[in-house]
Amino acid sequence: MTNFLQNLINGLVAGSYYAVLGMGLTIIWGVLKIINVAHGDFYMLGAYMLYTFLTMVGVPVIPAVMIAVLVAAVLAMILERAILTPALTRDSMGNSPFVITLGMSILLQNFVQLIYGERYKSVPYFNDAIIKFLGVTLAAQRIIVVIVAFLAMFAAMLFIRKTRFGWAISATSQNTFAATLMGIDTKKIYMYTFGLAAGMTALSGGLLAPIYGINPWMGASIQLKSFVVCVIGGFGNIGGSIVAGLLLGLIESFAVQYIGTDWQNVLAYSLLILMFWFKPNGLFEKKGH
Amino acid sequence: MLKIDRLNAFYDDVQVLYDISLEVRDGEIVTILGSNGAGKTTLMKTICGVIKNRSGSIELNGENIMAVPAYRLVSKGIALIPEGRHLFPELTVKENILLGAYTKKGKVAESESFTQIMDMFPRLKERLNQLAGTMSGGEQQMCAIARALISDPKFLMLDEPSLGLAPNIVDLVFDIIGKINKEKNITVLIVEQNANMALQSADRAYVMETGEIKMSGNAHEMLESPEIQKLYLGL
Amino acid sequence: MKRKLISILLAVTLSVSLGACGQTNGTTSSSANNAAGSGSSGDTIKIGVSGPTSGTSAESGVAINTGIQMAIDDVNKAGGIQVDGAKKQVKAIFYDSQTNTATGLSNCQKLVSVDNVDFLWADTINSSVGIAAMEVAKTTDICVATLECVSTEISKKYVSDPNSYKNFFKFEFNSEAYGNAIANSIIDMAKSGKLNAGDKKVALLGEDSDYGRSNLGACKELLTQAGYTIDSEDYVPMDTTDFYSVLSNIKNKKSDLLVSCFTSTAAGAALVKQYQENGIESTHFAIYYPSQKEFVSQVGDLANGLYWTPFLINEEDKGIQEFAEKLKAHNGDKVNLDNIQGYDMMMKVLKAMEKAGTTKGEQLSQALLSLDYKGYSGTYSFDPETHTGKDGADFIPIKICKIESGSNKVVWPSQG
Repeated sequence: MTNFLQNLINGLVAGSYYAVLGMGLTIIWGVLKIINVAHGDFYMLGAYMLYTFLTMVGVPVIPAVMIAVLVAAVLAMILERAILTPALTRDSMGNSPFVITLGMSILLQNFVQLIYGERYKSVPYFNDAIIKFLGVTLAAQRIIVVIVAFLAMFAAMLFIRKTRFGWAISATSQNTFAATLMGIDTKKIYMYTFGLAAGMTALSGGLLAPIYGINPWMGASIQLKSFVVCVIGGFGNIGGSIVAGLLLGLIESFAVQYIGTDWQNVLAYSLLILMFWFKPNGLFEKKGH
Repeated sequence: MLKIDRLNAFYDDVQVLYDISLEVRDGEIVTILGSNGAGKTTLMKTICGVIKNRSGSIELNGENIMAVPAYRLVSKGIALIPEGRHLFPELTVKENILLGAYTKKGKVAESESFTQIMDMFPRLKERLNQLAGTMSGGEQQMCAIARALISDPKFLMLDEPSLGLAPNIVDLVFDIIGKINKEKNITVLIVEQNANMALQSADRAYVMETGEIKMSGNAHEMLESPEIQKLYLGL
Repeated sequence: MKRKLISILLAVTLSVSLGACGQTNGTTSSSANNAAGSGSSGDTIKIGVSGPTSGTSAESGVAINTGIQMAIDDVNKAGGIQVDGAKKQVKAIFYDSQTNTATGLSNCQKLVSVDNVDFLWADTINSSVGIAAMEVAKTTDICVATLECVSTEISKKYVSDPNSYKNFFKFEFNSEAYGNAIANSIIDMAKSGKLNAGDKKVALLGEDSDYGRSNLGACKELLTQAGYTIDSEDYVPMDTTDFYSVLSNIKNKKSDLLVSCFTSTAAGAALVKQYQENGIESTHFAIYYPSQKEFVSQVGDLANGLYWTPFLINEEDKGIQEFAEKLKAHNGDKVNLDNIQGYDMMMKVLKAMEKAGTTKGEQLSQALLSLDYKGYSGTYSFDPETHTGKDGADFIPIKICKIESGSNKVVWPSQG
């Protein structure tokens, strides 16, 4: 029973940040209609920025996290505006967005490797407390991860559903032409959306850095996981990505218990294949289509 | 209001509009007729700046709007109701309409414009929280018009408003267009395949064929003209 | 126009990045010797090195390259090596294998056919790449060797066809050496009462690689023979840092001992941290990762109570101290398994070249087999049957130590 509970908690913790990561990728898909291959690398950038400001510069934790998120978001917006949008809004559909975001990914990884070196870095836990309840152990850091993850997702959804700019983002994702007619500067929307997604991803990177360590290639597995979450939740489906993220976290956690670590990833990716086969639009097919 | 002089447009390297010159005077309703593929929608898109490869001049009240990016046109007072309506299917009717006023400051939902529009479209008032994508064709058209009106445009363009609608709804639509023109003094440009309805509502008309303007004149005269009757009215 | 500019900018940025990530010079220090230098193949002895300087094994790979370069620098400073009748300088050519077999192989081919190296290290650490690179030894006249690769498969491959691989050498002893050491230390210490083995239940957890599996496999065999039970055996992907699920399983089974094996410091550090977080009470024996310098800085106090191997870097040892001074002067790094072995093994090769008076495969092989080289970390000698390095008290001794109050204490073999 205790083990079940521990697995449940582990699954929810992992699921919470899978959800955030999936949400970012799905938002980019919804608005820009591309799969951002550099998504995992903004996660990595968030971790490195946290390391820089927390450990190298000596800023306290909360401001360091905020600065890390800001830097990642701003850099993302610059890259988007300078490289991505010009290539995507050509009249003749030439450049593959895959190649461009792949280029961004390579750029970020090498940039980081050049500046920080290839040695793994680490940052201390924000809080060393370990909570024990009902036979379950949970580090305070992980609780922070969950809380911030849900706050971030909640804030993002609120922003998109209730603010005018948020509606503009929704509108752009549903019909770019009509959005333009409404007076929405779609290029700006692309830029801010990309920045928003990068910021959320960087936030996860920063919060998880104390637990998982920092290295230039840490974005690779994140990219894969985010993609799986998007497929299960449905590309562009924000609510779907939250459920899918939690689901993935839980499945992985319980799979280790009952099937063993060897099969953990096999299970996740088999699910992916099944999804593509039976429900290509994700578990939650959107109405109104 | 709108003056177009020698407008040429290209889709990549293919020319689609040839030396288009026309004008719409303040307070008028002008219609552009033509069969499928005549270039009517292309003209709309070119005016809006969606088709960017163009030469010539487009003036709105004397101001050259060729250099204005597409998304700025709303703030200049132009509203386009595109062919096929192009609503935001996953937003509610209310959200769709309010987005029309995206460029306006302040709480639009409480403004006079909104109340007036609600009075003009009682059917929409009933369905404010319904997803736009789930409405019937006629209701969607109403929504599209409402969305365009809320930006307080001086100049309204409609691209094939009757497309896919039942005849009684078409009547309703043109009624509303007439009302908008008379009561709010909004200049209207309608692109239509349904020549009959269009000519009955309009003041003047142009006829387009394969990217060129072939004929122009007073709408009522054209309605009587045997040539038009044969070619476009199926008589 | 603007678009063209941006495309050009993008292309330039991409090519710069790809250039930076492709061939690195391995060492983080500035080693001017590596620069595309002077000398045709006649005047310098070229040492080809293919090893990971990016990816999971990067930390070790870079350290090994540092050691190699230092050995070369020392020899060059002393005037070079007398080969084929003349004193020649030595130069290393480093390629990044990116912990990838295909990349490693193409590096080898390039080093042999394009760069015309006189000796080839391939791979410096990853066994899977090393095994593939052995093929190169069949078709060339120079000696080819793996440096730190430990997989027994490599030795087995040699034994299966000693004639084709006659110029191939595996410098590092077989992986079981560490697994065996751990198992024997557990059995001995339990017998002598130094260790409380409870109900003799063991959990095994390692990276899913040849290194992880062979070490833990060897450990499993010895322990099972001695009457211990294996509660669980988990192998996780190499870059795993999330052990929560696996650990809660182990906690549930209440194993008395945990043996873990990882080459990635990040994985090992994460494991130890999360292990403590979960309040697991099993005694933890670790293979490899605590030897990395980053381990201590990442884990700190949480490492107390951890047993680990291979403890080759006994800071009290005079030889190690000498090397540490040298290393500090070179680039300020601290001594670890990788840089010291990189140094010692490269030095053995260079000494053997001097003994043979040539870099030609046949003669150099003879020299390598007959030369027992005493380096800073032990005596390097080959078993002629397997062309593999020997381990043991007289050669490369493998010690187990325990971390107490932040410092290492040797606990096995017991100092008599």
